[in-house]
Order: sequence, then C-alpha cells, then structure tokens
Amino acid sequence: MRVVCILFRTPTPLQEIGEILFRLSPQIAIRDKEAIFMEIEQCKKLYSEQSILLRLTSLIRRLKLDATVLVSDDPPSALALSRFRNREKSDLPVSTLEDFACPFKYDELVIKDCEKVIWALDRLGIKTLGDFLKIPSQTLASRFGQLGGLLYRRLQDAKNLPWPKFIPLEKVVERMDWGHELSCDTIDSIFFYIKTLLDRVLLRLFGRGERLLTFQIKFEFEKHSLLKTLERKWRFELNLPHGSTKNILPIVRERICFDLNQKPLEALVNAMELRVIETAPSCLAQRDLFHPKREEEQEAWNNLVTRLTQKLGKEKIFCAKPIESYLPERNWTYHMTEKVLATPKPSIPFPQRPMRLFKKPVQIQFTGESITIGPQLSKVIQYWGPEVLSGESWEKPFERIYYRVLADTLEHFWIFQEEGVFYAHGVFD
Amino acid sequence: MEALKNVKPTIDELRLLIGAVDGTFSREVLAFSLLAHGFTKGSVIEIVGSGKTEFLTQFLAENKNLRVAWIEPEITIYPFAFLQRDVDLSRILFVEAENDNTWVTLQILQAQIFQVVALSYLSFDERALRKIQLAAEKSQAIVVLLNKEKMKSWVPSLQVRVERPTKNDLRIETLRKRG
Repeated sequence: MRVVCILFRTPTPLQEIGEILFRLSPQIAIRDKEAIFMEIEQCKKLYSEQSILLRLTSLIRRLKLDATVLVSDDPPSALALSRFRNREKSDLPVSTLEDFACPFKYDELVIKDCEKVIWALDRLGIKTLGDFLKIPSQTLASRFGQLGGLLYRRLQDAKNLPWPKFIPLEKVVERMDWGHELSCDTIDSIFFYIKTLLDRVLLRLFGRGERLLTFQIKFEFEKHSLLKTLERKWRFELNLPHGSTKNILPIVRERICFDLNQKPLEALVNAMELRVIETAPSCLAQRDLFHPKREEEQEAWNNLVTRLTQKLGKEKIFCAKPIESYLPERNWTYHMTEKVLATPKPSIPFPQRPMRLFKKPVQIQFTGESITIGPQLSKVIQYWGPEVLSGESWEKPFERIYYRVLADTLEHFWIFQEEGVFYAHGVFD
Repeated sequence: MEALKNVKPTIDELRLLIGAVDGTFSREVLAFSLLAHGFTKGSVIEIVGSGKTEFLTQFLAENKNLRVAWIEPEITIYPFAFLQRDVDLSRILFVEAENDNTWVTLQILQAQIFQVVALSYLSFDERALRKIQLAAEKSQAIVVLLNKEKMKSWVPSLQVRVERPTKNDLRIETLRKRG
C-alpha cells in the first residue's frame, strides 16, 4: 500500500479539495480540518509516484493553498512523517503516537488515553518510535494497557486499517467572503475572484466526472447599505457542457460587463457565490492518442456554439435532423448535440424538394399565364406535377396538390393548391 | 533613372518574390465537377442567380468531408433538401444571424472548425468583407456569398452566375476569376 498524505497548515475546505482529488484515486479519506489521505498503489499503472507528487504540488500552487505532500506505506505513518519532514519513521518522537491512535478522526477519549501512554513512555526515557518498537511486545499490555498493544501493532503495520468512506457533496457551491475591508468595487477585481471560483468548481466537477451546463453567480452587497435588495444574480445556461475556465470566463465576462454597464454596482461587493445548477457527464475515458485533434475540435465546437448562443439565443443556432411527417415544413427538427452522428438518407424516393421553404406559404394569384407572388409578376413558361401530399387525418387532415413552376425570370417555384387556393411554398434556388 | 529602377521592382520581380511564378504561393483547390478550376481554399466566392444554392449543394455533396456553417438573416433553407441531395445534415451548423452577421461570421471563421462558410442573403460593407477575407485566408475556409445580384465589391476572388433554364440543367457563367 502507498498512501499520499496532504497536510494543510491553514484552515482549508477539505471536502471540496477531496472532490477535486477524486479524479486521481477513488480511495480518499479526510482527517478533520487537517489532512487528506489518498491511496495510490492501485493506480500505479496510470501514474507514477513522482508524477502524482508533481500533480499535487501544482494543484496546491494553483489553488493557493499552504500544504505539504508526502507518500508513505500507511495513513498514520504518512501523517506523522508529514508533520516532521526529513526524518525516518524510527526517529519520530513518541508524541506522534497520537496519529497512530486515531489517524482519520480526532477522538478526544482515545487521545486522552494515548497521552497517558506517551507520559509513561517519557518517564521510561523512551523518546522515539524506534525505541518504542524495541520494547518486548509481551510486556506492553501489562505496562501500557490495551492501547499500548494496539499502537505497537499499528506502528509495525497499519495497512489494514479500515478507511472511512468519502462521499462527495450533493450540491457544488463555491463561496468567497471578504468582509467589509476587502470589498470589491471594480470589475477587474470581481473577475479575478470569479476566475478563482470557476476554477475550483470546474476542478471539483472534473473530479466527479462531470462538466458544467448551468450555473448561477451571486454578488452579495455590504449589509449596511440602503439598497432594497442586497444581492444580484446571473444565471448562465450553456448550450453544451464545458470543462474549461478558458471557454466559460469570456462568456461570463461579456454578460456581466454588459449588465454592469446598463446598471452599475450600487454598493461594495462583500461576498460572491457560484452555484452549479446542472451538469452533464464527462467522458472519463483515456485520451484518443491516434486522433488528438478531435478533442481540440470538440472543445472549439462547444466553445463556438456557447458563444453564439449567449449572443443570439438558443433557437438561432442549431443542427437539423429529419423526423417523420407528411407535411414538408414539419419533416425536420432543431437539435444540438456534441457528438456528430450521421443522419440517414430518406429511404423513399421523393420527387425533388426545393432548397428554400418560406416560413409561411404565400398566397398567389394566377392571371392567364402570369403568376403574382407578393409584389412580383412573372410569366409561367413551364410546370411539372402534380404531386399530391395528404395525411395526418388523426390530427389536422390536409390535402395539397403540388406543382413545380418555371417563371420567365428562370426562378422555379414550388406551389400548391389547397381547398381551391394557390400558395407558393418554396423556391428551387 | 538607374537608382529608381533599383528601388521599384518590376511586376515580374514582385511575382517572383511572392512565389507566384514557381507556384510556391499557390493555394489548395477543392475539385468540383461543375467548375473546371474548382474552389480555392481560403478565398471568398460569390454565387448569384436562380440556381446558386443547388450549385453549392452539389459542391458539398461531392466533398463529403467538409464541415459547413450556414448563416442566414432568417432561416429559409430547407434542411430536408440537403438530405435528398446526398449532403449529411450532421456536418452543417445553421445560424440565424439577424443583425450580428459580421460578428457571427468572424467568430465562426476564427473557430477554424468549418471548411465552408455559406453566407446566404447577408449584406456586408466593404470593410466587413475585407475582415472576412482575412479571416478566411487565415482559417483556410471557403466563404461563399449567396446573393440575388452580383455585389459591387473587389473582395470575392471568384464570381459565378448560375441559372436554371430547365428542370435539371444548370447554366454556369464565371463572371470574375482572380488569382
């Protein structure tokens, strides 16, 4: 067994960090307010000890945390060794027996008993764990009670300790409070914090194997201002799931800047919250080593679609797919997916359809050999047809007789007759 | 006079400098059965006439690997017609651009994921067209302007009029070809 212990020197939200580390190993345990353990032996085929240490160091730097990382054979040894760096296990002071007594949770009763054992060892002149291990094991129970024997066994081998289960939080929320003195009033300082929040949220989601789809950003203003509402919220609905700050931040910036230009901040911002509302599963498979460009293209596609959607609206950007309907205007639908799936070619050999279809059929007039479509008067040179389309008797029955008409302007119109009235439906452009 | 000759190179010398003579400057061309010289990558092409969309669709059907962005002020294109003409709908992104046509076009070109960008009935001023031309050159995408009538602009390197005198025939006339 190989265990990584990350020991934090400052108060840190360990649950959130644990969620970020979830992508590296599924076996994670948290020691209250102090440390995170991670089993890496089972993942040795995915990454080496050296590479995981580098990853963790870079993550700690990225999240601006104050912590030390150390690898050892079991959780209590890793914890004790990270408290006293550059020492051998046998040189550690006997005070570290507390870590062996309860490595995962600070238990006051056990610690009190352990302190008695440490006091007795001190009286006997035993200063290090190496000295403690030299005591004959048969005498331990009579000298230090049941706990003495337990500590002795854990010092020799703590690999079989049961690990507490790590459960990621149901809701992903990141928050920052600055208090009155450090309040933000400029857009730049606000975006600096939004980037940090977004970074953390995306790392947590990545650890859970998810990507961001919908989220909300909330600004909380100072409490003693005269404002009626002390908060301002923005909801972002991304068309496709995203996993990179680089793609989301420009969208957030554009929208918030636009809104703040319309209605500036009326008070100092004291706190900020980013709440994830909807996520989509992320692909946790290994990278496609043979087609590395595909992933880049997918990211670029998602980014482009999201940017266009934010500016134009959800209905204005779409891919199309055919659906079953007898009405020509209803035989396709909007859809938007990440994966490009080939659409099947229609199996029935229809007569050719026009390239352009009017949003609504336009009523037309026939005067002798002339045809009037809107303000345009043209002479009919030739026509082809008829083609009768009918159906949907269960909902709104229809029967249309279609013709293709060639006008003297060389335009080909697709017209139909329904209940004695002629309509132009499209153009063979 | 001799000094001036040194400062001002001749046209042949300039052609040699940009590689137009030995062919090093030549761009990749996508073949098209209806147009002998095909469509040059990274260029702006204008197609007018009553068979313009059919003509472009034929090109897309022949070049099956191209990803297409289809931009219109209001969508009138009939996606089902693409399927009938053997163009897979999954490789086309439709965009209804309304008033933001220059911004949308530039965003799409800068993404560098589309090999063909069709701008149907969209009006651009000369400055915007120049921007689009530069972005097309950079992304090596073919920008196709589908207009009712020929534009008075020097930006399109190829202008084609396509008429449809009968049901199945297309009459193609090259109005301008540069480069």
